[in-house]
Amino acid sequence: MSPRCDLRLPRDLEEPMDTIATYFAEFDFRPLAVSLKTSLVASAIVVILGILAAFKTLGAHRRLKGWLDSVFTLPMVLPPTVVGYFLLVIFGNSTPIGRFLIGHGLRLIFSWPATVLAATAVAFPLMYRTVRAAFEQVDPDMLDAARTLGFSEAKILRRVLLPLSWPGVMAGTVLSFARAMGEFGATLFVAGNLPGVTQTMPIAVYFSWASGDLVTAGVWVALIVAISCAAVFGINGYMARGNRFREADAAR
Amino acid sequence: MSASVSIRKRLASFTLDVDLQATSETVGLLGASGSGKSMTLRCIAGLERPDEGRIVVGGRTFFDSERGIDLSPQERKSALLFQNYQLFPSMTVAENIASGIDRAVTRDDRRQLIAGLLDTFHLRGLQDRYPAKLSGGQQQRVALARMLAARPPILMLDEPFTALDEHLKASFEQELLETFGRFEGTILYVSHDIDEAFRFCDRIAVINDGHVEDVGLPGRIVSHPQSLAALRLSGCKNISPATRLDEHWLFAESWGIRLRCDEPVPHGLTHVGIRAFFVSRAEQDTADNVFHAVAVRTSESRYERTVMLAVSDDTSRADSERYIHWKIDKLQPSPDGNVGPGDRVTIKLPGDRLHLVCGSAKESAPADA
Repeated sequence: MSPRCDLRLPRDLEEPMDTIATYFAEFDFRPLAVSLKTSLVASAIVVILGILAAFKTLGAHRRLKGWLDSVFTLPMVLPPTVVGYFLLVIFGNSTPIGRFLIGHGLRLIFSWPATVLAATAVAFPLMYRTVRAAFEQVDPDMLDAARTLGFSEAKILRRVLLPLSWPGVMAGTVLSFARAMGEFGATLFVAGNLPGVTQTMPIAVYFSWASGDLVTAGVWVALIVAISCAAVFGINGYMARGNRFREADAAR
Repeated sequence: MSASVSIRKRLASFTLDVDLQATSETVGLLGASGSGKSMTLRCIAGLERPDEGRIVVGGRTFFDSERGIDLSPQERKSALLFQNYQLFPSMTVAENIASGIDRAVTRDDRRQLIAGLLDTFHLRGLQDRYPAKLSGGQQQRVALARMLAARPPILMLDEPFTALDEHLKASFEQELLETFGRFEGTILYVSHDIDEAFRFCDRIAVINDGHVEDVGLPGRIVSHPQSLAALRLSGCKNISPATRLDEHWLFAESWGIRLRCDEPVPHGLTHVGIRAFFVSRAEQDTADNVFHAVAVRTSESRYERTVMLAVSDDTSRADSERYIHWKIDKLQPSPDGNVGPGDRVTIKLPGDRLHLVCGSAKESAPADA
């Protein structure tokens, strides 16, 4: 590099820095807030439903178990648009459930709760399957031992199954959160693209791209990649630590 | 306190059909693996539902198909001791022991109860450890303490020694016997080991293919087994299918020999057995129950050696069936001590030591354990 170049560099940078500052000053960050809010609420619901569904299928008879398992897994293998279609069929404004909700003051379709509904539907199978796999690693005799000691089913879940399946539960939670945040097809179907209300990051990617704003699309892509990576690396690091009762004494 | 069990349950490989009455005593359920003994415990604990029958423990009806009574495992609270103990890995020793204590027990009583059990089972100082940090013997004692803390109406133990190292068994045996002695109620002890059952039990019930085939005092089960399964499980090494020839004579098919029996041979005779300890060197060359045999193999253990003897040349039968086991006490000086493979010996199968059993044809199938 020549000295001439060195001298000119700061002045050269000034301009793009200004451009970036002005760009982000006007940048609409609302999709980030919508996405985080939606994914947090949806994964909270999914964690509870997934654990309960996994616990119920674990104790079910074999044939019922297979049937429930298929139904609970379907949203994972169906295209998200199909899931969205079914959600409209079930929760649409003119369906009985839709009318019931409207009667109680909730116009679900094309509102923010609809993003939660869509994210919950597609993320649920991930939680359910991960947790069920973790539950199945626990010796059934141990659950039976707990029963003969007088443990209620709720206590078995709380004191035996969940502590032993904790890594699986954590993994399922993170996977569901990431899946909820990446949800696009079903969300667009039932919640639409209302900026600041139902426009999530993936939807922002698509619509900024479609309107030719490649920079904005790129910013959203970078943000989504960053959050997803953080979640996956975070969970891997957490799982590598292991369970306290496998590693060390309580006394230490 | 007593227990009365009369249940039937259809299973994939056989039908469980168990009738068992017990007072305040230790009853051993002796059977090969898959004979239905663990299933019987599970039915009593409420983990499996019999198709029909009645289970009454300590005056309380657990199950009665006619009256539609079927208490949950939680209501029965039998605190069944599993083969692998099934301690909760996420709970400390103290929490494990406390896990079955009734909620109505006050905090002070609870603490006292746990402290007492920690003392009894030499677990003091280990109360804050997790099971993964315990030795096999310690885990075993925690499991036992947890069972007793739950105050079950019946003690049920499913092969409690299986997962234990040999050198730990002896020390634990004494604790178990003391525990049994203090317990007021029926104790059901499942095992496939006659020595264990003999040591711990007041009575032994031999279970085979889901049926109780023989119940009696341990001494009687060993001296006069009433079924093929009892004969096998009581440790008899020499068993052969047999047919009755006349009042005192029978033919042992596996060995191809005629044997004279002191007691009358029953008409339905199916098998004859003789314990390896009672085979002896014959003094005369020709007499009843005296045979020429060839030593085929020997196997040594600390205080005894076993010589496999071939009495017939019929090689169509499997060796394990054809050979007669002859057990020699190595501590007694005797010329038998140096019998080796290839040696010819003359042996006697004493007519007063023969076990005769009448079983069904189905039972002639080899046991799987």
